[in-house]
Amino acid sequence: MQLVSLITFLAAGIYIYLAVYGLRMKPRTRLNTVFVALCLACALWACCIGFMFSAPSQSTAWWWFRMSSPGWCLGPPLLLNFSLVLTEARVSSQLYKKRFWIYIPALIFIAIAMNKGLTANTLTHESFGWSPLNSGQSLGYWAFTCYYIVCIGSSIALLWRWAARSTLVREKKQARIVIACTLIGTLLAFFNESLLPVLGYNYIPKMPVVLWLIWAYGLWVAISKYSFMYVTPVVATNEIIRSIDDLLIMLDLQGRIIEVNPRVSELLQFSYADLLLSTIEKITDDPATIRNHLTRSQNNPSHTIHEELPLKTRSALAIPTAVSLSAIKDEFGDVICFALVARDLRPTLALQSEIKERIRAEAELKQAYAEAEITQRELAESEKMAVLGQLVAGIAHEINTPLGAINSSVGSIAEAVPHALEQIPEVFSWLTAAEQQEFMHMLDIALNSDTVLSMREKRALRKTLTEQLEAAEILQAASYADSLVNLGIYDYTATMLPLLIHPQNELIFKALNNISSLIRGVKNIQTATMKVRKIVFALKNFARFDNSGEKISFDVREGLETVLTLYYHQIKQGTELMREYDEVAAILCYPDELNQVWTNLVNNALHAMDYKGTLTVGVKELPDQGELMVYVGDTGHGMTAETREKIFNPFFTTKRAGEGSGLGLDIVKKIIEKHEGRIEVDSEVGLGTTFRIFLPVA
Amino acid sequence: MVDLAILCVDDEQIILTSLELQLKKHFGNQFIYEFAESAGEAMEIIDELVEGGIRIVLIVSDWLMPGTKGDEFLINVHQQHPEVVKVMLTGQADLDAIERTKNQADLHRCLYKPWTEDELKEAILTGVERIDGK
Repeated sequence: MQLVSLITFLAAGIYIYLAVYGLRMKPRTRLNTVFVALCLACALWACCIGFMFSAPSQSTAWWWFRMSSPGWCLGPPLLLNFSLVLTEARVSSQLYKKRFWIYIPALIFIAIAMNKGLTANTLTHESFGWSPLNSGQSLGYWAFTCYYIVCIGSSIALLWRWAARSTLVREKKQARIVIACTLIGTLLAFFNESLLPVLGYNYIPKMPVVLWLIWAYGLWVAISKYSFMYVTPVVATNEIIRSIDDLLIMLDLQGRIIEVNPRVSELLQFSYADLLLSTIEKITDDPATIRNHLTRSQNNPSHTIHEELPLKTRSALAIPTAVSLSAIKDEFGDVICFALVARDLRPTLALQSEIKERIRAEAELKQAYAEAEITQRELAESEKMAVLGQLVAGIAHEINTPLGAINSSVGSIAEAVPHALEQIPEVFSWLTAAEQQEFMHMLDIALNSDTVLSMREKRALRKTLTEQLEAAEILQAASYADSLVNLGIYDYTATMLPLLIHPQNELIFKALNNISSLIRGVKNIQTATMKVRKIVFALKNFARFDNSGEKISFDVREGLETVLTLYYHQIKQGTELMREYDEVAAILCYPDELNQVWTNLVNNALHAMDYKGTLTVGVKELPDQGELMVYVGDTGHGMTAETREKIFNPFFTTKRAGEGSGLGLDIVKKIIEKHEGRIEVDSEVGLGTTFRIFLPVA
Repeated sequence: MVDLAILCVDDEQIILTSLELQLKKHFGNQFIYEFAESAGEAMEIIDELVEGGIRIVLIVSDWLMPGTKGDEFLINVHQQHPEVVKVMLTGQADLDAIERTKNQADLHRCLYKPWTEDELKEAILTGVERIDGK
């Protein structure tokens, strides 16, 4: 076996190794596929040439030489393809897509070379073995040479441009290596294979396939060292370890630090050299815990810990960290070191305390809100009570007045009755039948008199009657006139004369006065009772409905009247009341709540005009809109636009502090909204305000 | 001829009627009794009575009335007729108004509705005594 054969076979072995290396690279990209193809082509070439050198006969050697042609023919286009793929993003896609054309000449050359030889047409036997004899000036030889130069030249041009345009140092280095190795390898091969024989140096062994190894080596370096085709796990791991925010500390079995990532030095303020081979005592105040775990991990390699442990900086500042420790085993399963990963907990703790703070603030806010809600409810309630309080004071007066009247009338009657009972038989005994009849007639008038006269009218009647009596020459005319008017007798008639001039006239009229007192007392009590009844009825109506939450068919006018009755006392003090009621049907509503609305509006209206002016209360049917309109208007001081904007805001009030909570109209609005109605307000400063409420009829 | 008058002022007729019945029962023809439903009407009556040579001894007035309130009315009367005894009869006490009337109209008594017969009688008797004493 010739030495050149051995070298060539060795080269074939290296090519195969490189091909396997390329195949095992993950992920498999187009680029390493091309690399593998190139290596395989070269391996085939080297293999054939190896056999050729030591072939026993010329024909066998010639056969091996022809068989090697696919290797060297495909080399240049594969390089071009490799360069195209590598620089893919930066070459025109047209060129990239049509890259299979570059293989056509190679296939033609292979066909020719296999058939009758391309670069050589015969072999000579030299001292080192068989050597191809160059065909010299044959057309095929020059065509192949041109093809060879074009392919390699274009590849180098592409790589050159790629490197020039790249901003990455890695890519520039890769390109430089590939270009250098390609130039050296292929030029040497060209020189050895083609140029030397042309120059006549035929005694040197032709081993371009071995020289191409330089080129393949260049590609391999670019691939493996500069991560040409993919990121190797080691590179990635290193990169990750360098850039993670966590602290990575490798400990040997004795607990000494053997490796740290830059974050450790950064955070703990120790230099890398400082840390290396120092014990963990340097970085923690609690080495016992770690050592304890180290021992346990050593005995039981699957033991891992996750614990909170403070680490110590150079300035002895404790940094809270979450530490996890795991044993790292070699391929035989023996623990060789420990990986300690620590995470700075300060951001987490800050976040946690922020979350806690927020939760607390939120709880406080909720509480405050709940309290505000309670306060508002209480205020709403107190507003109701305030209105009611005012009402009650008025109503107390309203009830006390008739009560006073009843009380005093009862006293008067009680005393008049026995007197009358005593006086009547006595008086009758003095009177003639005609006089008795006149007496009874007078009593009859008194009993049946229904007219209620004002004091002024009464005074006028008394005056007239006094004059009439004086004309009839009756003494003490004024006194008799008074008695007669109280009996309901307003005109003097001659039939009265016998009684008026009767010798016992004084006693007779005393008896008549007593009886008229009785009658008037009773009537007074009746009137007073009616008044009390009316008030009590209104009070009962004001809040007679239960809170079942069900709407009730109710005539709004009835509610308005109830409220007006309760406010009668305040209205009559100087307010003229105008009622403008349409005949309307009852609507479904919450009568109690509407009463609260009317109460608020009437109260506000009276307040706005200081109880002097005209209060207009009306109900109108709006059939087109399917609504009922209730309006309450006053002739008070009115509101500015600015005030008008705010009246429905809770707690807004124009009343003095303590007089109103400012919730009245807020409540009104809520009640109207509950009825799916709406409220409008018209107001002009100095002219008054009208609230209009629209309630759906259906 | 009786020339002493008692004037009652109240916007409620039932009160006036009650007062009339009570006063007539107790004092009979000792006084002329006049009744007004408002302060304005009362002023007219006062003028009429004074013109007719009748002396008003006592005025019983409600406080809460439409228009002029009792305190204002009594103070007005007091400025013209300080000798008249003033009694207030009210269903709703406004302490400020009562205090004002006491100071500015020499209020003799303040009765509260519902009043008792004895209270009224006492107020009038002591009031009349005051005049007699002068």
